Amino acid sequence: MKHLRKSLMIAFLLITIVLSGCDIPKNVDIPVNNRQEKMAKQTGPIRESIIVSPANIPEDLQTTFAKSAAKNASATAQLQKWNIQISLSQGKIQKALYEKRGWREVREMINAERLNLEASKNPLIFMFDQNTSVNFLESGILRTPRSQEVDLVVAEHVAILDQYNHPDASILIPAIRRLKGSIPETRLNQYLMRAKTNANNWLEEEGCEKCTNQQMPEVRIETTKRIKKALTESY
Amino acid sequence: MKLNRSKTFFHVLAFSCYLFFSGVTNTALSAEEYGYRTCSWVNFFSVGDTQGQCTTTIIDFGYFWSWTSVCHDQTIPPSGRYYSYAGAGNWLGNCGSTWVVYA
Repeated sequence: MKHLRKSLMIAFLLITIVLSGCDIPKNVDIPVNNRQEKMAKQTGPIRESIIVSPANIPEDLQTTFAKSAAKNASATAQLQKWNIQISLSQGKIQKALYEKRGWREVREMINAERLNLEASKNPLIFMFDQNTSVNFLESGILRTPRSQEVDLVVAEHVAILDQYNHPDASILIPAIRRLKGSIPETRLNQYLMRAKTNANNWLEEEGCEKCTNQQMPEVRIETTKRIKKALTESY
Repeated sequence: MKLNRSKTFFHVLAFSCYLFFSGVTNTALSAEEYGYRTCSWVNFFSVGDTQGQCTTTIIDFGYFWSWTSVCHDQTIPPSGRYYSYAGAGNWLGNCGSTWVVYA
């Protein structure tokens, strides 16, 4: 009886430890060529945020790109610095959305991060703008009940995405439709038309249903399907 | 003596529950508790028949992550210079990361 109780306790402890998860992250340096493949296998669903190159790429970014491509180490470091800054700012917003913080707080955070990026003259700010507006619309504000105040914020982010000719119709079309009655009808129709045109252009140039030559083909296929569906439903 | 044994049993039970709920043995990070880490590298790669160089950053929150790439040329498939992905699950890539913790 004494041994049985002892064994039971040890077994119980072991089972608890196993159930609570012993998944020690493997610090394996994944070869570059199969990094994306490994990532796709090891994670859950992956969402692609489409980033549209601005019509006028900032001059300092163009210069740094060119120098970095010519193997200039300090230009590459500069590019890396800008990229890290953008990633961290985006990450803060993504974390806040994940934590389901209130939309007012998230909006304030977006504005604060934006000011920081502007102050540090980060030319990749357009990545932050697009990524954040898409995430904010999708995970935050579009799920909030309508009010004049909320509509104003939705309109703000629709305008940002429209300014970049953003093609993600799966987010833009529902957001624009939601603004019916809050913005002039002509503006709404203009937004809708542009969203559809941008989506069609993107599908033609970058969309694919069976692509293989992408960074993450399976993710691009999903994005393509999502945008096509939004367009089909909008007609 | 009987009472002591049962006390020990409950101590083990309580400790086990603590382990289970606190996730002490789970080394995966929780975004709420630990903030997140950034990994970045300059990524030379070949996908299909195109080649290029990208500067990539991954933010690993422990549960979810985001990835951004800035590429030097437009030959990176298919024509873009900028990529951004986000997902849930564990990012297990090791890229000589540094830790950035937010209060």
